[in-house]
Amino acid sequence: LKLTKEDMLEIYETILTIRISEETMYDLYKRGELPGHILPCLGQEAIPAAFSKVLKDNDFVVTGHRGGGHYISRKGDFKGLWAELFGKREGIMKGKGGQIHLIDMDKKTIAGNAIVGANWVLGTGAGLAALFEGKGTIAACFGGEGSTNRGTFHEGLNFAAVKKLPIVFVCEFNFYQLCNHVSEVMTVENVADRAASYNIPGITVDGNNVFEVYDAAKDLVARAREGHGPSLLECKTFKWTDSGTNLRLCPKEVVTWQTQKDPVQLYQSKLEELGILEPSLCKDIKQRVTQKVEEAVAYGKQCSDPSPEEAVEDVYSMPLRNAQGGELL
Amino acid sequence: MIEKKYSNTIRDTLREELLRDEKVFLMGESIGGKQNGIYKVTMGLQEEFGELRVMETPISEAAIAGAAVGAAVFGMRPVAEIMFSNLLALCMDEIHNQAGKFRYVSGGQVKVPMVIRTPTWMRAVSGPHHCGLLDAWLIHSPGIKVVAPATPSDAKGLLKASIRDDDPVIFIEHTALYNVSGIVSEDDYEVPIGVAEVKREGNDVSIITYGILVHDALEAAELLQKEGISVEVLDLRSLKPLDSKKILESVKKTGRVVVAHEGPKIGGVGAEISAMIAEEAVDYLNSPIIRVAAPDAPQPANGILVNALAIDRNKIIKGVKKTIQN
Repeated sequence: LKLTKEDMLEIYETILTIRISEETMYDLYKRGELPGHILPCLGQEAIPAAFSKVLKDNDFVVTGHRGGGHYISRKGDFKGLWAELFGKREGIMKGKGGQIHLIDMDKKTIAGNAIVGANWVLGTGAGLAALFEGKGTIAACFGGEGSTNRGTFHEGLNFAAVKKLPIVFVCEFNFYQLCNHVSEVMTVENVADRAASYNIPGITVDGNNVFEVYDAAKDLVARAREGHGPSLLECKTFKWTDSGTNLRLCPKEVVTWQTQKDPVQLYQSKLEELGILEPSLCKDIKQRVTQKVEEAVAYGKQCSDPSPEEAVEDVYSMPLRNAQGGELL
Repeated sequence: MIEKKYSNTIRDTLREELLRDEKVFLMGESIGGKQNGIYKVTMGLQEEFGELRVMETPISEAAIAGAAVGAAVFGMRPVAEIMFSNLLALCMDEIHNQAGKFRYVSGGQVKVPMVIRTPTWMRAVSGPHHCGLLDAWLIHSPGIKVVAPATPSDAKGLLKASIRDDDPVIFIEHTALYNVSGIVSEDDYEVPIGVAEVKREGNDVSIITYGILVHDALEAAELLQKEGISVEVLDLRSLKPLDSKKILESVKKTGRVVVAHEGPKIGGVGAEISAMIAEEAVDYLNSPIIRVAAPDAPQPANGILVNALAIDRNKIIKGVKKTIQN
């Protein structure tokens, strides 16, 4: 299964949409125009972009922090995303989830969870559901290297391995958990080494290279579809931004990654080198994506605020009353 | 109508639901194989339904509960078993933050139709880590429903209702109830979640309780009747939603209340019930509400110490008499 020219251009549009949307989000956030708390995936876009051509619409996706790129790569409701970022009622989660919990069940996508490491056991459950579903359905479960230090990583991967669940676990290894470098919090260089504990394949790739991620993901996803069980794909990448709060990364290191290992720039250069992306086409795509983001931002901004009464809606499948109609006090 | 043990009723109900809906599956530690459940509740089910639909798991409570959430979100109806209710502490994140909040954070998009069955193991000499109960923790988590049937008949109806419910339900069993027998209808029926039941009518004092203590309360009521005290026993059956309507009806009828439960009094289920009664019906009370509940201590291993903490018939009788004296 080789990527066609059309596939590559589609990936380009996806990676660019993620970049421009997340950059816009970060800028607006810094200017105080977005409420809440954000976890951008800037610098990590190659991973969701590559997976957009590996996963099928009926596969299940679960992520941990920084799931915005996956939401976009799964073609989640884009305007609804922006309404959510502004905390509006028309937001895909009605303003209740916010940027860290991007959920579009029509796209079978849970892109985000604020409990670091919860993704590994939820993803295991998604794999169970995929196993029952059959027809080659798989679950893809993404999370940062910091979250692999939680017990849930061990419990989830061990469970998935022993039950041979159709899951590709993906570690988005971005070198920092909060503001601690990996060397301060773990003794292995590669999270993929941990796959040995579960007797499953563990593969490390350059997570900023779309083609490398795609090739490895394609094989591991095929393996899962064929019933050979889970695997662990480690994508070495780098987060360019903090969490939108005041955490500090090493500025020099960020600049190095931005100038020498920018996944969007690397991918664009490769397409240009292959003669797939002519300057005029590149310009057209950029214009289209920029316009799409601008329209979504404008839409999100003018959406309505939820009313205070909505704060107690959506807790249960029925209103908070007991079965005899009595008020639940 | 047949007479059946509580444990066998749960087993048969699980079997019926496995047959009824292919989305239903069971998972837990040693629920199949030669063991068939640590208390034999799932006897024979793996043999009948196979290793996928009756799935044994590693000792990984966070993975069991977390995988139940993940599977439920993506369309299944898992019924997970956590071997002792005290072990829910090992998966409270998956219950409190994931199961309970998923529907809400998704703006109502996500359903989480899962059940965690868990037996409370009190009145036993296994010490503080096997024994203990976290009922009050559970009712404090938005989005979670909690039921605790006291009889085989309610166990069947509530288990069916829980499995068919679109919200996460914690189904609290009790090891001391497993051998209790009762009359069970063979019909396919549900006991609605959130509906209490008066198990014995009376006029002088209301005992509000649930689970194993319903039986102690009924015995207490029988003994007190001989002393001329007419006791009403209200079995909550659901801890959340709480049937405030039935509670208040009973309080207004008798004007005297004993709330009994096995867990610690401080911050316990009884604190919520007492406060609700105080807010809604204080004018109907003829004496202060009495809570019969455990002291603020872990479960010990020594039998004498266990009995010192355990809530039983005699402590309930004492509580009832206190409301009369007041």
